[in-house]
Amino acid sequence: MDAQREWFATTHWSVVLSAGNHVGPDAAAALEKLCRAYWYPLYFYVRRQSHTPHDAQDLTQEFFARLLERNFLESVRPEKGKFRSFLLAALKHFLANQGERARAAKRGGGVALISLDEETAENLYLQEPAASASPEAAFEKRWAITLLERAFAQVRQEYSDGGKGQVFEGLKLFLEEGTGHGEYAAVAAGLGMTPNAAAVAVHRLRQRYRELVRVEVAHTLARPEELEDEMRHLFATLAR
Amino acid sequence: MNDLPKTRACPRCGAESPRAGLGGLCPGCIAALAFAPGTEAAGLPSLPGHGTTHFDGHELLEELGRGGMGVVFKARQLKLNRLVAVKMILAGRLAGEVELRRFRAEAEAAAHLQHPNIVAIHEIGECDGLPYFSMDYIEGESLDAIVKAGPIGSKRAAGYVKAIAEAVQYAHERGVLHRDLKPSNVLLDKFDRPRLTDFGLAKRLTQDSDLTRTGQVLGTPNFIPPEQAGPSEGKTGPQSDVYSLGAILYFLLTARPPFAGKNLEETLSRVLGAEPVPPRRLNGELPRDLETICLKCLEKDARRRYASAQELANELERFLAERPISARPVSRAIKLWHWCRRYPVTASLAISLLVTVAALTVLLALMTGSRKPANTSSRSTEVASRLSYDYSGPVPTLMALDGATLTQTALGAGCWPAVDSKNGNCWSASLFNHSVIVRAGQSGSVVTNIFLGDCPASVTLDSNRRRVWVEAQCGRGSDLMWVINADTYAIVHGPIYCGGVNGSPSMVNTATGRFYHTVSYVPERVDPATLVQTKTAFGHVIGVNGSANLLYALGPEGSLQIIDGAPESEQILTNITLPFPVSHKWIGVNPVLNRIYVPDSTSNSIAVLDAKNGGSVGIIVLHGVAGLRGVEGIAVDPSRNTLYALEITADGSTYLFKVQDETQQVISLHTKTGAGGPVVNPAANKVYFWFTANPL
Repeated sequence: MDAQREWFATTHWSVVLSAGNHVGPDAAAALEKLCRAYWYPLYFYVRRQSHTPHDAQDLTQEFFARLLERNFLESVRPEKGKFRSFLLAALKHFLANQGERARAAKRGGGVALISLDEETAENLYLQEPAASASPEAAFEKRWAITLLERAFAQVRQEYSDGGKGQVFEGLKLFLEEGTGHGEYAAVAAGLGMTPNAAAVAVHRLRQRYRELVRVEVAHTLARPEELEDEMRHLFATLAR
Repeated sequence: MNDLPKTRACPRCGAESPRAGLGGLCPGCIAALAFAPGTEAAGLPSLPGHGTTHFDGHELLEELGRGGMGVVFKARQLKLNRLVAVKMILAGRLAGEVELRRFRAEAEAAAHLQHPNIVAIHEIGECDGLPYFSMDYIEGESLDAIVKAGPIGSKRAAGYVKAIAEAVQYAHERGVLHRDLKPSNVLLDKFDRPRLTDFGLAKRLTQDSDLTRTGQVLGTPNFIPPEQAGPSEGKTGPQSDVYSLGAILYFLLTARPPFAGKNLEETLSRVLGAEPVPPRRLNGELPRDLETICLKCLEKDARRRYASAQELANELERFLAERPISARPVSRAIKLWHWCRRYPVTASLAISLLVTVAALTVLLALMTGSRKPANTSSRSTEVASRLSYDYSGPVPTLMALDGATLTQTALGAGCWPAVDSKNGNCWSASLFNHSVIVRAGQSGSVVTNIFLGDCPASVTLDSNRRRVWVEAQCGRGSDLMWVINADTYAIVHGPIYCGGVNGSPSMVNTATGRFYHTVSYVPERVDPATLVQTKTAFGHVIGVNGSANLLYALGPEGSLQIIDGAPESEQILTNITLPFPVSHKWIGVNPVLNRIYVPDSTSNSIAVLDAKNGGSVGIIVLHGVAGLRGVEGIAVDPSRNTLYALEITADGSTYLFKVQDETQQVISLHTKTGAGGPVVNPAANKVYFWFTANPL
């Protein structure tokens, strides 16, 4: 087993999958981590299905509860390729099953896994541009953005922990495509750096950000060979 | 989270940028950096622009569409100042080697084709490592778009498909198979001339990313031939394109593709296994010849289609000129034969059923000395003609026995019936017809046929609330539930996924409206108002006493539970151990006499108990027939104080016992294969049972 493959055996999604039919504490913890990270694309999808904010919150919450309580993994076995595909398939299955049932049975009784603040969720949702894309396409796009955000938050945290929060805030603009060398001078001056030092710092920032995105994506996969394909897919999702 | 910035336009690309935990940055502008495997971005221009709007001598004006692999822009070719369409690979520089090769192959294949009905390629190029090609810009709609308003006229459709067939023939002669012919790949130019585009986009259904993407990619499988739809791709050839041309014709004539499922898997399975609904059933105005042409293209076996696209074009030409076409409609017998070849085992069962139905019909005519009812014959034929549909299990036939004359009549397809006590209607499930069939209690004639699409397996009726509960198999891992209005026949709810129904009868408590069924071996109740399914605290319900609001359920270790049916209670009142283990088969309830009848499935006896407290009242021993194996089913007609019990002997002979007070009558049922039932219809004085070609 090479190093990459070895590392992949420890991704959250690998741990969940390797648990098989009986999700033990490790797998449950890994699944919970993933769920915490990706609740918003799901909320977003549910909202796009014309559910009210309150219902969408209940449904998302209950979905997570079910995911861990019942062996949902078993029931959606064929979809267990990538976490992204699995989660959407499982959610669809759940919503279809849910049909017109009231959510009353689970509401309150289930464990609230994700502190899904309704107001925050809805605030986020309302600030999304009104798009005509299908709920699935919207979910995928939101998923890709969530990945970017998580990696962004991590890199920001790393800089902040290293006492370089200001550097990060100054240079983050350079993560965007097309921000060129010409702009270094102004930013460098503001940070008390030489343009060259700023260029090097930007290079490092970009590199670190890319690494963190890859790690984040990898955690939703189980096999190293899926990584490039998933990266391409995510890119295509946002390029749409 | 309180200082969320408002939605804004990205200053760099102008795209409306969602709030994001990205420090105000635009996800679209970060995507290339973040998801690029290398150091540089993909370089794919996109509009509204992430930078470039000029591309190798072209000004990109707007995005026209995207396929599984490519993106097409409307562009102005600056040198010649003309409008063109520029297609480039969707993943841009991130494209893999295989994608790049395929993209180039497409461009090259199409570049060699100069035909008035094929969109011409102008140039193939590469700019900054990004391959692209430019082609005619067609300002018009695709065939996909024109059918949105409904089917188009037969001659117009035939004319379009003839022109495309000729273009396809031209391509075939140059060694190019299209393999992705579909309405959205045919554009109508300003002269209303169909122009074929998107050449060489081979099937890429095995790619996971395409499978999970929605919409456009899912559209394709509706038009691909079975040889391209299987898990391992079969041999494709010119006749594969002939199939897709037929599918386009079908689409134009009916406004729907020949096969469509709720998901990719279901669509593919229909492409592989089901026969298309004849287009004339969907569009009655269609000339028969055009239907024949269309269905010949859609034959599963490529050898039975037109040998070439040209042959199809010639045939359509004959149709347009109102000359006789060469193809003949496929007879029902031949359809059945083809179906048998595809499903040899099922077919042998079905054929034996047909033989049984035919023999039975004759037998009944002889027995009753009456003329064979006309509708029996037509239903048998209906069964035969429907055999080519995608349900492949045994086909149950519903029978009615007259309670007075004891004559037996075949009603047609159906099983697990339920009786509407308000009007005597008999509702039954017909897996084979994908529908629920309602028949008049007295005459047995069909009142209506409610098509559900999936395979209904049982019907349960709440006469008080005018609700009919239907459970169906759908082959998608979970069974389905519907609620239908018993008066209007309208579907009120459903389909609702409900897990695996265990094939045992479901019950409805007419006192409360609650529905009880056992799903994946878990007994559940379904609330009539909310449809919430909840596990019950008792076993599988095998009887209901609406008058006393009591339920009877299978208790632990073969005992019988009596449950208070009140919604707030549902308490187990008593647990009774009988001399034999209670089976999952339903019990008989006579609320008038306050009796329940519990059958012993291993002997010929029936325990009679007090309906309220379960106290033993007596035992009925069925007699008069040797070799009885056990009581199969039981039903009570309280209004006539009559009990019916169904028994099957070791050699498969089936008997119905009619028990009134001390007297027993034995009726030999006309089936040698066992039967399901009975169900009593007191209003019409009928007893229903059903059987299939193979033993139940």
